Amino acid sequence: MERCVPAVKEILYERLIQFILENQDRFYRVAYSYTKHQEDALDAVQSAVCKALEAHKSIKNTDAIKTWFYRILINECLIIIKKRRKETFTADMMEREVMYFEKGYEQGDDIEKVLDMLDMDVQGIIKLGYFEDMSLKEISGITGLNLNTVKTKLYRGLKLIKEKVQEADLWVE
Amino acid sequence: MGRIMEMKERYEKIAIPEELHVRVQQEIMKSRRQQEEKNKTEETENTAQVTNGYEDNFAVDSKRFC
Repeated sequence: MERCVPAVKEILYERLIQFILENQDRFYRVAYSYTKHQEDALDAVQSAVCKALEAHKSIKNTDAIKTWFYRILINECLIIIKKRRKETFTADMMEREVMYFEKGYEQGDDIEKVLDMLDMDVQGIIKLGYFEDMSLKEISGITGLNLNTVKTKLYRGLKLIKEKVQEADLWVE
Repeated sequence: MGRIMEMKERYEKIAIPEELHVRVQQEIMKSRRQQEEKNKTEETENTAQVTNGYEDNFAVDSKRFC
């Protein structure tokens, strides 16, 4: 029986590597959508892979790999964003927010701007749900939020986007 | 909702830099090396424990016959 445990751990380790190799592009997209910066996104993915491989023994079963890994990845993204915000949160950010409400801004990326203005956790829920096609349960596992909280935040976020985009459309018309 | 879908299309078109695969591969290789080293150390420790166990038993048995 004692010999069985290391064997299971080895299988989970190999599965984790397989999961990382198969989904690395998705990880990058998630990281990029959070950080909006190529180098930061690369750093976030690399750091997440490193931490996940170091902590692989804490994985309980193969079904948990996805949620577990994404939680690490998003955590890494948030660490990088916080670090960068400390360095660059100045007039530049304020200027961008004011520009959003200006008449006749580009229509193509207005919704992205609205999404970026939402709280990070709401942004994350929308990105994971709509871009990564994750279920609410998976999102709940990744964010560590209660399922009902995820639902509420998702619907509130979508409502806010809808309102802001309509508001922007009025400006353009 | 259509606009969110448009955004998803743009999201899926985010270019993946070549460097990503290099960095991921590097981390995997590094981890594999560390795993191998850990396994070797554990194996050596286990062998030492088994050998010590045999020696202890032998010592007890020898005393019995003395």
